[in-house]
Amino acid sequence: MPPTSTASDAEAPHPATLEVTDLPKRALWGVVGLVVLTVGSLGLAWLLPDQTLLHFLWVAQAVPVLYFVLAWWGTQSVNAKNDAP
Amino acid sequence: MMRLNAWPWRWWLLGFAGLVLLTLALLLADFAGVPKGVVNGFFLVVSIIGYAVIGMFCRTTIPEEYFVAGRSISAPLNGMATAADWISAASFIGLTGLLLSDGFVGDGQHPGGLAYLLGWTGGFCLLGFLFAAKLNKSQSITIPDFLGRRFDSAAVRWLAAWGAILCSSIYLVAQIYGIGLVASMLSGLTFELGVFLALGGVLLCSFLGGMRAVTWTQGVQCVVIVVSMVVLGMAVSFKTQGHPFVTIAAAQSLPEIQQRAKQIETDPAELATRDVISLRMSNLDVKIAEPVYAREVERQTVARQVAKAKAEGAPLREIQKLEANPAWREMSMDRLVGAWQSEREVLAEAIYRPVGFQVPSLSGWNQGWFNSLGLVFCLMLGTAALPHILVRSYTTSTPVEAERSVVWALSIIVVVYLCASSLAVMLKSFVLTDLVGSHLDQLPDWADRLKLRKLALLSIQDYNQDGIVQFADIRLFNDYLVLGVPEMTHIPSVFTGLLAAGALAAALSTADGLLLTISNALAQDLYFQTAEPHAKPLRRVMLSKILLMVVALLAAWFATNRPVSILFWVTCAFSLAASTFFPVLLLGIYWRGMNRVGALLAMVSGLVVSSYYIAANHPWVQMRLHLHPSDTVWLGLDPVCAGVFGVPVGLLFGYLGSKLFKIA
Repeated sequence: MPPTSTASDAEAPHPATLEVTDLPKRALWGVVGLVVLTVGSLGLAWLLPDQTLLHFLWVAQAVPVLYFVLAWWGTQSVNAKNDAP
Repeated sequence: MMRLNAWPWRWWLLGFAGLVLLTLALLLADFAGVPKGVVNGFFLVVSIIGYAVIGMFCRTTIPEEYFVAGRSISAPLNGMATAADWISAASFIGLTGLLLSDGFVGDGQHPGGLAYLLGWTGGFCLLGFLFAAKLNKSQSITIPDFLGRRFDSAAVRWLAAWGAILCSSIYLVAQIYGIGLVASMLSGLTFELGVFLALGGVLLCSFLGGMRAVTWTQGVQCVVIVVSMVVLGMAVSFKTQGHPFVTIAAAQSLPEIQQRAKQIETDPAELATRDVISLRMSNLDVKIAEPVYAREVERQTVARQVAKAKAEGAPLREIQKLEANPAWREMSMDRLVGAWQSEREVLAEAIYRPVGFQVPSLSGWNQGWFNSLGLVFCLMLGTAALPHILVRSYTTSTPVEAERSVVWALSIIVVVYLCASSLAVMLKSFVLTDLVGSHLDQLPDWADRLKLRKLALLSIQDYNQDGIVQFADIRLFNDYLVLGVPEMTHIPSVFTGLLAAGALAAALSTADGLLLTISNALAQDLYFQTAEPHAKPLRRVMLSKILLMVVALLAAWFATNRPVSILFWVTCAFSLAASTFFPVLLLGIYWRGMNRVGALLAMVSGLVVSSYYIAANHPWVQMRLHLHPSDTVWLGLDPVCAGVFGVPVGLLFGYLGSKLFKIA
């Protein structure tokens, strides 16, 4: 069964201020990787418009899997910094 | 390494095993000759009762449980809930039909299906990289609450609440419309009754237990969504290529599809059909340019035809067909022009959509390329800025768990979308080989069934009157075509029920999340912040529940009163969310110089620019204000790409506002 919280007021545990930080390096590279992968893959599809098999195997199948790998990789270094709630 | 808590996983495995057993039992019932309606109806009833029971078990009046599920959800469960929240009626039912109809790279003018696929998945990378951990760390309860506290401004919170309500409402109406379609298809009830029946399930779940109940229900719905799509993909793959590996089966089907597409593209009968359609489009252009004169001419023609038919004693159906002409039927000039414009759009779609997965003469960096990039941009940023997705970052215990849950969600979404794109390829082969070239009086059995359904998934019009189906004669209803897959591929009808249960789960789970977001924004961020800032926690929860019910009924009323293009409005919601929230969140989280003036300007400017672009290019507005697309379209981009203008404007105004109006 779902765990039950003991907190009684949703507004209570707010930290006093919200911290503004720099973007972690790995996340920044992750964003760059995302842009390169997306624009590059779509560009490839437009450059070779008759290669339907390539569109399907690379852009429709492989790229979403690569996004998953990228998301996993990009959130790794952030994890260490953000471990404390 | 992601650590899994043992007990919840035992529950999920039990749920998964239950679903498999139910499917097998219904499969046996199907083989034993139990009527199809009973098998399908069983899926509908079991689904809705199951979700409602979870909702009742998870009922709560504790605010932290109701608003953020006690901030105690594990990463895998939160990922499953996020995925179910995310996979909406549009993406579950619509993506396969979209890829099948518009192809991978589009028609050279508009974006193809690949843009949706990449935009909808890549956005989760942005969410994980940029926002998930930071939002979790803030310990807020809504996105407007976070922004209001970040900028220490009630005005920012108020404006953000209205932004969240606007984006979520547009999205919600499209979901409720999807729920009605699926529920009426499964139950045989009317569309309106289907909406209200399914809405009962949504309300029982989210009304009683808020985010806590929604999270657990969405976890179960996620299992239903994934199982239904994967099992369907495997069944179709087995049927077409004799093995259950969907990607391989689709890749094996592609060369045959390409060869058949080339034959069709050069077929003289196909070319003749396209000529007839082009001529009809030219005639419609003339009518739209001179509607008053055209209506008179058309009416006189119809009057003569009707008089002749009556004199010859023609059947009543023939006479009614003549009288169905909009020039005869429509009294209002605006509605008549609207009917002509709609007819022209259908004809244009018939000749511009690709036969295979790309149009034959497509080459170079055409307008379709810019539209595809623009759409990917809007969908990615929209995904990372949709309030009902962002709010899931608050439900995990730590920032790390919030990020891990995004990765879990993406893994689930990727599995569903890989199956959806493979299904599109396999279905294309059925359309091109079975349907195109068949005689109108000897259509494949599935085509007849899809045509004659109460919710038609296919229509055929013989434009060149040769009695043979050409590709341009076929109109597939993309928004919900996937619901007809079992009939097209001749797999047992139990898969219809399973697929519809998945589609219903997709629409219900998204509707749940959206309803909570809207009602919490109304109650927490608008009412209690201004009218009763010191209200007791229980009162906050109760008002949220009442508002949730009111919003659900309003959305249902709206959806049952107007036909909705699910995909169009969902995509618009992404552009609006990207323009309103992405700039203010990005600058607010990572730039110390951002202040409340900048935040207000960023949200207002982004929202105004995007809303203007979508509204000004809507056919209804264009007809009312006598506008022409060439006056209102910027850089040739489709209205759904409004975020391409809204996001940069939001970023610019956010920066300038913060620089020019320094706050001590």
